[in-house]
Amino acid sequence: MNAIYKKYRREWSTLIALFITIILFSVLEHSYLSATNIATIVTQSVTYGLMGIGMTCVIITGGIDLSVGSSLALLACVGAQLAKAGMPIPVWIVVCLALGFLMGVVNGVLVGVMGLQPFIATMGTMQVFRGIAYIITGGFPVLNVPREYRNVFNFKITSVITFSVVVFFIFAIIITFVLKKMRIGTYAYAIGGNEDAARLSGVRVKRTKALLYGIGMLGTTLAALIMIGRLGTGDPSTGQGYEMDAIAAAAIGGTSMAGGRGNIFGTVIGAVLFSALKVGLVVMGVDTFYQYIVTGIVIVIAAYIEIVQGNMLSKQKEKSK
Amino acid sequence: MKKMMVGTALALIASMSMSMTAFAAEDLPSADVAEQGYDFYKDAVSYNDLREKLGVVPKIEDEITIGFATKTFENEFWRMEKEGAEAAAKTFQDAGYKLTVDVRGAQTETDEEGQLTLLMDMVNKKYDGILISGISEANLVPGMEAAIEAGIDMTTVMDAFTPYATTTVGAWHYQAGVQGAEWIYNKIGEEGKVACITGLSQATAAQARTQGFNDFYADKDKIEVVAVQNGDWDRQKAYDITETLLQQYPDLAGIYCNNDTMAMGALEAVVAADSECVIVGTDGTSEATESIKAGELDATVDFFPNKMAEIAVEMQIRKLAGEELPKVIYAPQSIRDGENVDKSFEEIFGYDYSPVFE
Repeated sequence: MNAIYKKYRREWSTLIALFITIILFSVLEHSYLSATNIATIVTQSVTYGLMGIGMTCVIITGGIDLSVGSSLALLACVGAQLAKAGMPIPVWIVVCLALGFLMGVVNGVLVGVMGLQPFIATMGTMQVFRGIAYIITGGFPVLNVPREYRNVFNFKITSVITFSVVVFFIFAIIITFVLKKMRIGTYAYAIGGNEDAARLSGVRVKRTKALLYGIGMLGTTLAALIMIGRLGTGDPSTGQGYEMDAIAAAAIGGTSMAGGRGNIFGTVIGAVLFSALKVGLVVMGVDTFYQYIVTGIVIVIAAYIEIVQGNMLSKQKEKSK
Repeated sequence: MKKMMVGTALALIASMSMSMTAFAAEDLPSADVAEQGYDFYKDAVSYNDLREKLGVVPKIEDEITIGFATKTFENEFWRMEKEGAEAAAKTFQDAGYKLTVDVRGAQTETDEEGQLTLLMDMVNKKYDGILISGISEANLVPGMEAAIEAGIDMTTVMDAFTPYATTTVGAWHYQAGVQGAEWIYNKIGEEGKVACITGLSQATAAQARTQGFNDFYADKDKIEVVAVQNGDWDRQKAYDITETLLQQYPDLAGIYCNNDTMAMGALEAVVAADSECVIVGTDGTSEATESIKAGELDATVDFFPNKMAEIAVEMQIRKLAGEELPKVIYAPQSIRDGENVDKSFEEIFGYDYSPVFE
């Protein structure tokens, strides 16, 4: 137990922050703690959560992916169009995931192989993906996606919880496995920690980065398919600013923007916390102008916890010497 | 050296602030509208009332070029405005006017600099009149100042309202909120819980629509406004808010959304929750009207953007011919629901819009 605590120290504090948030809202508004409301919170965390998991993969390597919001729109439009064209469902899923992976690899190649700054490279693809989404749809949302496609990721398990939540958790477990147990994960942390050192130790930096941007985009692809399920629509104008929410989920969950540190468990909790906050503010009827402030403060506090813990940790280490 | 640089900088700042104060706010053509608020201007006229008083469109023999600096064509609403302006150009050309209408849109919803650039280009080319739909109230100010200096008359179309144009032809946002609220009120039997999902932007349209919604219910004792929440004009955010609200208030009877995109998101959440809640949107996009035809969305407040642009072009030509027009003209707007969604503009308003020539 103690070992687990030590290993996930940072994530525990996010979890505690989540519980404090939930308790605080429950005291202020009793209906907040109802089972259905908790289910709503988890369901609504799926989009940010999936995109946040992908973002975490990228941030660990010391990068960033600003294109995920536009990618969400493009993938949702393509997914909706393919569904309306009647593509068989298993093929549909594979094609969408492959396309998402490829889009991520494009980012990865720009950053890893061609050596562009991640911020700039993905800012560029953010524009390109958005443009393609508008071009292929002519600027109109793709409407009336057939029910059977919508149900793939979004059929109801209970009256409130949909299958999307299961997809979210399974994806989180798979990526955790990839990052913790597979070589590419170890490489990712090594690159984020010290890229030169990693290269000198024989890590294939270029290929690792390209792959991780691709893997990360799979999260956004799943988010897009779930979005099609929920809204029945592929909207080329959607997802604007979602990259910031994905980054926020990762940051609240303790992923270091400098790279080399962070894990999926934290991001999942971060996304749920983010969602708990949003739902709470709606349930409480907080004026929308104040919601921005509250959300911003939570992000800053989360970042500060990171610093305080880092300081405490280094002091402990000094003592033990 | 340092002193000199500071001196130059100061001189530069001074000259800049002088050029910025070249137009005193109270001297601008529509300063009084700005003071009273566009949605509350006491001398505002609805086009439906004005059309009776307007005579035939005066004949202009010279070649005229009208620019239309509009917002992004990513948004269907502005594409419809563009189509309207181009249709008007054709109508006038057919009637013998040597009219050219140059419609150009900003690249994105936030491309404020790009929109200023294209307005400046129109001013530099000395267009006779310019129609303007600024992304914000402020982003086109330098271009509009240059236009006034060059003696170019301007008409604001839809929004954002600015005091620089002599006339604004646009939606009555406040009234749209009232219309949406009133439709819900009648539909749900004059009692129950209602909510509003708002858009937030630089423009005041969302705020005026929401105020109309709130004001309508202010004296309705049996109505409880349980939430006014920001959906950022976004489909998914509106879905999430609606989902949450329906958890909280399973008996929620109606939601008014500040635009149709959010209404479509809210509608999906209502369907998913198996709720009876009615949804009313705003704008009259094709997606919304198609959905109403299919019996899904309940209603929308339609601004008829293409007619609005046609009227704006006509008004600009009247002004170029020397006519005096009201500073604020509210374009025709109407609730579209299952009852009248199939009806034409003429059937809804009792007249078909087209400019009357000699």
